[in-house]
Amino acid sequence: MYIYIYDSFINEGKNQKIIAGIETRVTDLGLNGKIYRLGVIKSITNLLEDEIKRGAKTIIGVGNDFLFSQIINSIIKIGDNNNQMPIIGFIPVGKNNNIAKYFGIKLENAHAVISARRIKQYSLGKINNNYFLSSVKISTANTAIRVDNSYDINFNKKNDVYIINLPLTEEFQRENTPLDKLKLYTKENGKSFFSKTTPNESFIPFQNLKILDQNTSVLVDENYYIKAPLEICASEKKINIIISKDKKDI
Amino acid sequence: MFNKDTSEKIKAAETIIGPSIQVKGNFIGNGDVIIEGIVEGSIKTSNFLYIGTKSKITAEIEAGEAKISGEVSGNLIIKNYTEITKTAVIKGDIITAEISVEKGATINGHISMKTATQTTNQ
Repeated sequence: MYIYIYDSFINEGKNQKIIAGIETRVTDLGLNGKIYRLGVIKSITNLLEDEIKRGAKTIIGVGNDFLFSQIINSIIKIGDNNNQMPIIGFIPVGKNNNIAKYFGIKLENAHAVISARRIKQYSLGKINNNYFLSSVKISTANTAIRVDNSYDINFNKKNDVYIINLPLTEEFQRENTPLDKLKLYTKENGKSFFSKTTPNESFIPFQNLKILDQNTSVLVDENYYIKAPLEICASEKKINIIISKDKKDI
Repeated sequence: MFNKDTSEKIKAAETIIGPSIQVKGNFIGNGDVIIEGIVEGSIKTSNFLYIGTKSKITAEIEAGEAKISGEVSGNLIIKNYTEITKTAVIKGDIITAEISVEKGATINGHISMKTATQTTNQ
């Protein structure tokens, strides 16, 4: 059974035609299910927990990255308790859709992707007792970081630092990046004289990372904040996502 | 200015320590490592190591192959080929199988030529 969760902005007048198109295609492809609208429901986690108990196997987010991150994090929390994680799909609408784009999904092909049901497992990152799919953003870049219990990193300038699990955007994507490790990424703001020939970014794969400065807080999956002390590492936990056959392996 | 080969290695490198970063401790890299920042302690990789023009390294270094263009205080053990460019300033001993030194480089230390096998057993 499919559970559709619509983001609150979907209800705006300009999106009515899009919604009508989505619901027509859902019916045509036999992908009908229950529809819930954010704004009406109070807690995605509680809703999904109830639906999963009733047998829901596939959760489809209709909206953008903010909604998709909430769904992913809710599924992770629920799965943590009962290990029965449903499959997640996306129908991206409007701007800020890096998650769907990464999985090769656009509004035009989303229904075909869901119907084809090509499922892939993705490993999660772990931050203290929480999990994340794409990235953790450390905004207080003057903080010290301990890597692999082996060396410390300090930053000379105030840059945003990212811990990347899935490289959703192009700036995080590199050749030869190890898939079984998390990566620390930072880039100097502005251009240096040597910017074309000297890298002004840093990219460091690691197994384990600690942030001890209690003044530091981090943004997890563009969704919620956690305060230090923090320990971040790759996790064995995985999540199932419906992806497009056009998804590139990055 | 970098040659094409180094630019390609930078693009494909698994690890980059950029100019805004300071590393203290024992750094072990897998794959090619590019350093443009400050490192104190030790650096180890079995692949290619590039120490860029802006870097300041106070560390013992072990690598499969190396190109040095920055400041290094510490000993280097390079299994295969070591290239030292004109902007390099090295205070320490170098053990390597093959070496080239560009005019203008500064080296204060001993250079010992050993085969890759001898370097591994070092």
